[in-house]
Amino acid sequence: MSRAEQPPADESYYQAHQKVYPREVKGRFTALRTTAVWVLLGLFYGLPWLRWDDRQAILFDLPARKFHLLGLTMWPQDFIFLAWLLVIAALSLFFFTAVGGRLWCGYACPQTVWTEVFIWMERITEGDRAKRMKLDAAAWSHNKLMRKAAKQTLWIVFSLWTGFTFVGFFTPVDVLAEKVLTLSLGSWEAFWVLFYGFATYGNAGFLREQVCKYMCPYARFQSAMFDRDTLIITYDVDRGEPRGGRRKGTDPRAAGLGDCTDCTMCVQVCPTGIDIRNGLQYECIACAACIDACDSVMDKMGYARGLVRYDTQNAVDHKQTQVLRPRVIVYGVLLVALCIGFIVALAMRQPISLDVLHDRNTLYRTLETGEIENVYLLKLINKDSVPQRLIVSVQSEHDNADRYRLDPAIPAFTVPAGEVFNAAVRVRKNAWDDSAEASERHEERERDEAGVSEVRFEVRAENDPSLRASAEARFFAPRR
Amino acid sequence: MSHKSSPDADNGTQQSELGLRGRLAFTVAWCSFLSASMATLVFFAFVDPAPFVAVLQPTGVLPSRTALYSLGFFFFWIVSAVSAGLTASLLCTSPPARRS
Repeated sequence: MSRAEQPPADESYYQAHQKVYPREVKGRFTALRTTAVWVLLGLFYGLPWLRWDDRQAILFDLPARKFHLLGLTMWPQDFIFLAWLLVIAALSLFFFTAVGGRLWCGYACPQTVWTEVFIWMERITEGDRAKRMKLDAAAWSHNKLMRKAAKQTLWIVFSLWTGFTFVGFFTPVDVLAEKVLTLSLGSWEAFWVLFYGFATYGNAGFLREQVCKYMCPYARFQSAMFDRDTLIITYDVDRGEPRGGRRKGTDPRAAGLGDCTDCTMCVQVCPTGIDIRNGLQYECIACAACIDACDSVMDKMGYARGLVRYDTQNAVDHKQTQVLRPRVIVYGVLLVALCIGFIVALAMRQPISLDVLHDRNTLYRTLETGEIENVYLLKLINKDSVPQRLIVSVQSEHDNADRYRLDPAIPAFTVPAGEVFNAAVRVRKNAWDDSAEASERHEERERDEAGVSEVRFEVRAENDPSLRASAEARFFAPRR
Repeated sequence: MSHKSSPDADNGTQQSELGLRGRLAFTVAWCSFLSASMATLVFFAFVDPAPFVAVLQPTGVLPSRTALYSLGFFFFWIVSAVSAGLTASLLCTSPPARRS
């Protein structure tokens, strides 16, 4: 196919992929990223094993429908907190993007973090950049087979461990480990271990920068948070151009050259395979590898560092950089308000909650005494970390409260920490007594005739009256 | 879109991987995976599937919640993938604009 027959570049979604072989780099930002990798992966692989009061400290216990976060137990009723937390996370991403550019991509994104580890494994088995390129181009040999096999073994074992850890956040990890060791893993658990392991293997081993370029939604919309005062990785064109090779010790100005020696180190270290000297590109994940590479060359040449550096577009254009600007202030204020609200709401969260279900089989029963009886199923939830003895009472906002009584008279139930307790209680209501009831309680009488009235159940902790919860229910009686 | 069948016209030196269709299929699968994850999270936060299954299947062995969540996730994934796939297919096979 000749060039003329090919679809124009702007019409095609597809570009043949060229494998990127990032060169190893050392420097300030690489050290920072390595630290981030250690801390983040340390948290990921370590947290499931952390204990708290005889249970897993961080456990999103899906089978039991409750989340344990250190001393906190969250229930499906607390879903608002999870949603709130996600909003905070999204807004922090906006805030940090507006101020510092793609810091997330360069240092914290799981894709970056796991790719770093996979590339490190590739390096220790297949050698540095030049060796890897040579090995891939070479014909299959014993050496190539052994090196590739070693790499795949490392990758697969690490991926499986990753999948296992992931599932360990959702089912107790010690039980899971026991099941793996005795080969008695449940089919769905095994499936999710393999699924997550395979995703890690594929994303970090093969897709790598293609995930950022073609799959990541954030990479596409992050430019909406950018302005000319956002920190980006820039090449100082004024200082660097015209680029060109020169001997060490040559005065570049006398030779008519800029500071860029055109050594292409910045291109070789780039994990996404771009040339930062062409300006800001959406493929740039701001990992700063090119800064470290260029700084080391500048040091060798005896030039000042920072030909490639973190800077803002305004600074590159010799204008004033404004850190506090409307965008940053709005994101910042919203973020602080949401965080404060979250902490307050969490502190004020009632550790007791109550659900009331009316008995499904019988609406009401008329007793020999003339009283009407309804049966309710109370769902008492103790989200606290200690057992609570809960006392139930019943009230009515409209009717004379004296007309209702509970059987047993003062029901009390001990609910263990982090458990749901189902209890049945009977509520009895006096029949309407024309002679005894005053005629001004007209509305109450009408409701009584309709046969339905509202009651309110209240529970409070026996030794801490500030812990209370209530729920509304309907009381049914025969129509009169 | 002028090219239909085999869009990966390489110039030999480049590593050929997925064609346009392959890439579209992956994009569809990936985007519906994202929305299915969201849907699963929100849906099962409000709905506990266990009682429903107990009612539908009063005897016999009940599937675990893990199994029900997983099946729910795949259901959402398939539904979103059908929608995304149709969208992709309609966009990519749209008739060329009539020349005036």
